[in-house]
Formats: sequence, C-alpha cells, structure tokens
Amino acid sequence: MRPSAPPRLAVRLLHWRLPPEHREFFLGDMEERFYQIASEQGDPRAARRWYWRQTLLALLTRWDRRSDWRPVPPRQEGDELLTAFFSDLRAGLRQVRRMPLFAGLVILTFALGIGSSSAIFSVLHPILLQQPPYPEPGRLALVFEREKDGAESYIGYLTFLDLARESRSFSSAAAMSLWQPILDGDEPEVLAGQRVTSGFFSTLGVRPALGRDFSALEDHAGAARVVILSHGLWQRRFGADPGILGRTISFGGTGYQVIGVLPPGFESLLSPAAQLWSPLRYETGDSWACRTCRHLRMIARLRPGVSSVQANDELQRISAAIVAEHPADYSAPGIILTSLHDYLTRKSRPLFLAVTGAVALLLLLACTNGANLFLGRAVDRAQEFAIRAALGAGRGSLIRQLTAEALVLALVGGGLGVLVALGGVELLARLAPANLPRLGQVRVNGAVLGFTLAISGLVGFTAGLVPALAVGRANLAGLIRQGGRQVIRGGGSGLRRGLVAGGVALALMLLTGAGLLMRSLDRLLAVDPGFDPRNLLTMELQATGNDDAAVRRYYAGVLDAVGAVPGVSRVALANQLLLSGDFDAWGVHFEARPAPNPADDPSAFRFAVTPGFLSTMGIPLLSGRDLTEQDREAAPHVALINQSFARRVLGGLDPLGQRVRLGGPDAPWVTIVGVVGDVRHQGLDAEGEAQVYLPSSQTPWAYSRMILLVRGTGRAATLLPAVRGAIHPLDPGVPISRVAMMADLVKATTAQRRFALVVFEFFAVVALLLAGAGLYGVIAASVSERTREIGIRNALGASAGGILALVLRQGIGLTLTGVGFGLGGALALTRLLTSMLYGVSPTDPITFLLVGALLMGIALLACWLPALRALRVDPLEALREG
Amino acid sequence: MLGEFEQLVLLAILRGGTDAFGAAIQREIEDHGGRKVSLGAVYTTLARLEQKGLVETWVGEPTAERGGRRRRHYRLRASGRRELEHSLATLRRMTRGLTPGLEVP
Repeated sequence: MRPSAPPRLAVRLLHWRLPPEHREFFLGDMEERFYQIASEQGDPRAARRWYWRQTLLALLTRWDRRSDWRPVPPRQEGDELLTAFFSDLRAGLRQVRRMPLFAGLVILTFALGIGSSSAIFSVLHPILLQQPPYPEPGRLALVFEREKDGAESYIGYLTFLDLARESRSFSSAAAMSLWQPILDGDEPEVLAGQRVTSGFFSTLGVRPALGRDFSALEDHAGAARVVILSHGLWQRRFGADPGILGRTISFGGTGYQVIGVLPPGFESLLSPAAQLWSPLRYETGDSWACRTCRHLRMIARLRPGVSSVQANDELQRISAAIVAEHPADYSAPGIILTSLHDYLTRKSRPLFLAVTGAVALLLLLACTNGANLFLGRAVDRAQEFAIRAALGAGRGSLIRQLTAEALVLALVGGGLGVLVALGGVELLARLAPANLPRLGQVRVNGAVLGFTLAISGLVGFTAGLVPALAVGRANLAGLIRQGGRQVIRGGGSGLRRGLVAGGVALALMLLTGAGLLMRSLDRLLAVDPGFDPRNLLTMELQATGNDDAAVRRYYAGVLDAVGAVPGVSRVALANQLLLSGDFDAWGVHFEARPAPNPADDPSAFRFAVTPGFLSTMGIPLLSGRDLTEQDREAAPHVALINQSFARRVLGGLDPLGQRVRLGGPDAPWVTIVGVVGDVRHQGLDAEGEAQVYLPSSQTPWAYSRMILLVRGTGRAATLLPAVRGAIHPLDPGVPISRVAMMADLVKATTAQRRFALVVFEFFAVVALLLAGAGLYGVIAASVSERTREIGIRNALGASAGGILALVLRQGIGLTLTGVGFGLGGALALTRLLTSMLYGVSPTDPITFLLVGALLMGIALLACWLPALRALRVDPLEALREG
Repeated sequence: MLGEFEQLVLLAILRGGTDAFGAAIQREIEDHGGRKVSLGAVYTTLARLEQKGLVETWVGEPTAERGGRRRRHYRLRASGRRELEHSLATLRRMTRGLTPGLEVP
C-alpha cells in the first residue's frame, strides 16, 4: 500500500521558502526520499517526521548566500530586512540550544498560556465570532412580541401573518414550531423536527440538495402532507437512498411524502436537534392560530438596504396598529427584533465573557513571566551584551536580537501550545453545556492556528521587548568596566519585582474567580429543588392512540404495569419534566383577584399529572388534599397550587376553595384543593416560580406525550430494563425516549457554571504555578546576587533566623504588593462574573481571604528554597569569590 | 582549498556514480559519512560548487514517485576532481607524522 503523501503544510512552506531555481528539484528529492523512507522503515510516521525535520531545516537555510568570490548582486530593502530577521531567528535558536533549562522554562510558560487560550478560542470561534452559516446572515432576525414588562414572547399565527404582510422591511419571513413525530417501523423512534411556514428555507437562504422546497399551497390544512429530511436522517434511516423523493413515510400512522433532502452542510441552528421539516398547515380560523396562542417563533430576512433600526421603527408602528385593533389580545404594543447571531449567542454570553476574561489574564501572566525570565537572563548575559556593544553592535540590534530570541521561544511554545489546544478542545467540548450552539463545529482549524500564531508572536514580542528595552537603556559602554551586573540590575531589578508582583496580582484575580464559582456551585448544588431527585427514573412516552379515550386508557395501563414491577415504589405521569427545559406556561385568572385585561393575568407552569405525582416526586403537600383517583373527568375540576404563587397573588386569602381559570375566558373554572411546596423548574437558581397542577384526567384533551416518573426502592437505574419490559407489550409502537435519572438532570442544569468553573480552576492552577515560579526566580536571583553580603552577615554572626527573615521579608513584601493590586483588580473584575454566581456576592470576603491565604502559602514555599540556600552560604567561600 | 562540507559533497557525488542527485548525496553522507546533514545544506553547497565550476549538472525526466517533478543530476568536472585531490593531499600532508588518531591515510 502506498503510504500517505508528504504533509501538505510542509510542502506549502517549502514551496514558499525555496528559491525558484531549486524548488522543483528539492521538492522532488524530498518526495522521492519520503516514500523510500516510508517503505524502508515500514512506518509512514518516520517518513513524516523526516520530512518535517528537513522542512524546518530548509526554512532556516540561508538560500541567498553567494560564494564570496562573486560580486553580490544588489538586493531589495525588504529582502534585506527579511534576511536580517531570519538571521536573528537563527541566532535566537543558537541561544536556545545553549541554555536548555531556561528555554524549557520559558517555552513551558508560553505553551500553557498560549495553548489554553487557543483551546478557548477554538470553542468561542464558531459560536461567538463566526456568523451563522447562512447566506448574508447579518440580515436574518428573530421577531418577538414585547410584553408589558418588557419580556419577549413568542407570537401567535395571526400576529405573524399581520407582520409579514404589513412590513416593507422584510424580503421574506417564516414562523416555526416544534414537531416531534414518531417514525413508524420495527423500532419506532421519536424524531425532533420543526413545523414551518412555507417560506422557512427560502428565508434562511437554504435550498434542498435533492428535490424541492415547500410550496405555499402545501402550507394549508387540506393539502397533502409533505416532509423535507436532513442529510443526516436521510443517511441514517434511509440508507442515503437516491430514490427517496416521492416516497411516503409514515409518522404515527400518517403518511408524509418526501419532497426534499437538505444539503449535508446545513446546520439547523434554530432547533439544533431538528432532522425533518413539514409545513405548519395553519388556517386563520384554527383555534390554535389565535393572537394569544403565542407559541410560534418568527424569523425574517431584512430587505437589502434596510437597517435593523428602520425595520424596528416600522414594526413598532405596525404593532401599535394591530394592538389598537385587538386590545384584548395584547398586554402592550411592541415588537422585539433580535439579529439571529445575537439570539443564538446571548445565552452563552455571560459564560464567554467570564472565560475570555480568564484567558486574557492568563495570557498577560504568561507575558509577565516570560518577560521576567528574560530579564533575569539578560542580567546574567550583561557581559555578553557589553562585548557585543564594544564590537559595534548598536542598541537597535541588541534589542532586535533579544526580541528575536523571545520570539523563537514563543513560537516553539505556540507549537507546543497547539498540542495543549488539541487536548484542551476535546476536553472543553466534552465538558461544555449541551445547549451551547454549534458545539459540533468546535475544532482546531486554520482560524485557530492563525490565532495561535498571532498571539505567539504578540506574547513573544511583548515578553522580549520589555527586557530588551531595559538592556537597551543600560549604559553599555560602562558595562565592561563594571563587570556587567550592576548596570542592568539598576534598571532591571525594579522592573523584575514589578513583573513578579504583577504576576501575583493576576494569579490572585484568577484564583478569586475560581473560588467564587466554586462556592456558587456548592451553594447551587445544596439548593433544595423542592422534590427528591434521588432514585427517580424518568422517560418520555408518546402514545399512538387516535382519540383521547385510547390515550388515557393506554397510560392507565402503563401506570398499572410499571407499578407492578418489583423494586418500583411509586409511579406517576406528568406532561412536563422538572428542570429539563420543558416549558408549558399558561395565564392563570384568579376569580378573587381579576386583572382588568386578561392579557395581564400572571402566568404559571401548568402540570397535568396523575394522582401519585406528589408522592413520586417527593413534593410536600402543605395544606388541603392531594389529587386522587376520584378526580375524574366528570367530577368537579380541581387543582393544586404552589405556596409562593398562592401567597403572591392571593396575599392573606386562604387559597383552598379559591377558583381559577387557566387559558382563555372560555376555559372552565377549577377549584384549588391543595397547596404544595415550591419546586424549581427552570433552573436550580429559579426561585419563586408559579406552578399549578391539574389532574391529567381533567385537562381539555389527553396529552399523547407524557413523562413517566418511576421511584425505586433502591437504585432506580437498575429498574430500566424491567420498566421497559413492562411498557413494551402494552403497545410495541410507542417509542421510549429521553431516558434519564432525575439526579443527572438536576446536575446537568449546572453545566454552564461547571464549565466556567473547570476553565477557571485550570487557569488558576496554571497561574499559581507561574506566579510561584516567578517569585522563586526573583528571590533565587537576589540570593545569588547577595551571596557576598549574606556571607559577611554569616561571618559577623547573624542568626539563621535573621538570614531567613532577610530573604523571606523580600518575598513576602513582593507577594503582599501583588496581593494588594490583585485584590483591587479582582474587586473590579469579579463583577463580570455576577450573572454566573449564585448565593455568593462577587466581593465575598471569605473567598477573598482564602485565596489570599493560599497565595501567601505558595509564595512562602517559593521563597523557602532560596532562603535555605542562603543559610548554607559559606562565609569564607563567599568572601573569596567576591 | 575546498571547505570541509564541499569535500564531503564532492566525495558523495563520486560514490554515487552517474546517479548522483540531491537526496542521494544527502543519503551517501549520512550512510557512509555517519553524519546528519540537511537537504537544504546539500543544495546550497551544490549550487556553490556549480558556480565555482567544479561540478556539472543536467536535468532528467519527470517521474511519478517524485510527484511528476524532474531530477537534477550532478557529476564532477575535471576541475572538481583536481580540487578534491588537491584538498585531500593537503590534508594528508598536514596530518603526516601526527598521533595515530589524527593521521589521514
């Protein structure tokens, strides 16, 4: 077998660097040898290594060197600069080889800093920085209704039609809702999809790769049902059958004709899991198309030349007219227009703000530490610089040389950093909260490599320039006479101390961030969600029955069958699952507290549940009674309400016996028969939500999609096979999906914070190491510079404690300065974290205290070793050396 | 007098016979000379030797294993051979009578 071809990037680099007269032959030789080595050693990797080594050497080869017996042809100015640059880089490489320990330290510092920021960048890039992958994405916008309190809400079908018809700003618009069809077959499967108006794909600017888009005629109640598949679904379930067009697929017993397949690169950002699309098929008279039926999302494409401000102005005018015509259907006029990019990124924005801050701090710290190391090095090399200066090296060339050395180390560090990034990206992608958009696009690509290269250059340049300028400022002529050291130290050591203190400050800021996040997460996980998530198995069922009676019969059977499974202590059904993103909120009209406009009624999460729900979930009944089997369809309609909602709306009134109405004015009155404890539904940090529980037997229609909740006497996860086995025979066509342990779902709600915490923790550890290393470097250098002084003190009988104190005092002074500045910086910056925190103030004194103490501990450790060495200084030796 | 690396390259061309070209020369030096050299260094040296008129070169046909690229072949000219002999003879004379480890036979 022919081994893989030579590395493309290397070939490119060579092509760029080789002079034209050698190019063809050199590349030919390289390729010939590459295959030879691969077949001789039987290892294509050895050949690749060889190829890369030769490439790097060729990049550093001085191709333009002419033999000295020929006149040198005149060269271009730019060419000369480039040559000087390469020659500086070569000199830099030689220096690096001469001081491997120092170089290793610097490279490691840079690799950690550059690598982790590259990893973060590769996560941020597709999500935050790249525009959505549709043509002219800047013109796509989401359209929401604005409620009285300024909150945005989805819109009703009639409102959508009005906006789409009246607006001159849109070239097209579409509305969409969720669709969860069951794909019939031997293994029925619940698919995620969207129901959309016919202009959906043309608004996005996407055309099916196979077949055609929806036509306007297909978007009507009477029209034949059609479906468009994603490329992935077409491949997975239909074997990429090219004859799929025109075939009829059965979803829940209804046939849909396939009319199109989307291109493989299509990303469904508005509904990330969606794999198939079908027309919405609403008619204006449908009860679910009403103005208050706010369950559709609207997307629009702005006409070219129309700014979002113009579009916004026009929409407010149209909205005012609509509301004037239908005052009972809206709480207030107003439309919210959000660009697609903002809409997709806003949820992750606080996270990214925090993480980007952490990256910036770490990079700054890497620069500081690098500069510090170089400065220390420059002091040691003062003699060399003095000689170079004496031989005619100008200040500029010294600065250039030092900067080039730093650049070399930064580039090598950046190269290693790419490895760090590769590992980091994998880790980050695994840790990242699942609701981050475009997570699949996160990888180390050209843009990331470009970023790495750019910051490597920046870091190297910064870290090299600071010490280079210090050397440049030094009085070089005086250097030789004075033996070098003093002159640079005069300018350098103040700077060095400043850099070390700065490093400590940056580390403190990162540590504070990590500490605050850690305490928030602790607090959050300690929150009582209002129910008992332990040993609770959950899954979603979707009944196939055609009428409400059949669906209710089926679910009654499920409760009986699952309840009989050994190890199951309680079982219940609900139309939505706590803490998992389900969102079914209805307006609640209290008879005792009527709002003048029905649109102003408070809204509450409405749970349709079976009688065992409270005991299965472990939600306490505070007063009144639980729902029972007697609350049948024909019995008086009843409801449970949670405590804080009742208190908020009814104040001192006893909720028991109060009547409420959920939904519009024609909905039936139901009587509150019990008050239950609050649960947290939208997130562990969601306090004081409103919840209403109705018996599922009394809802206006039967929910075909229900969540099964199974509490086990022991570990509920082990019950899964038996529970499945009990459900399956009742109706093999019912798919089971979203199987999860409630405890895992609770944990998943903290994913975003957990992610930020991991990043901060990692960065904080790196920062601690870097700050410690910086301190150690400065103190060690100072001890070695003061060997003679310490020797004399020893000789004069200074106590060990005295010497120790002398050295430690210096380190502690530096640390305290750093901690002081760091506290100030942290106070200013932790405010950026506020939205990620829970139960902890951004200026939490305990965190600040602990972090300060930790840093002091590390600082002591870093000073201890050089201090011990100072103790061992032999007075005689020290004096002789001096 | 030739530089040390120039000597190595000329010797490698001789050892390679008529089939001497960049990569083959590099391989000769690494296999027989026991010294790692970069292809880039071989190329710049060959160019210098050609400028000095010590080697002559011609271009072969493109081949598949070279990705359709041509090969540049090298051969010593008479002057190259003379320079090489001269250099080695100088070396030999200079080392004669020195401790065994330094003598060039």
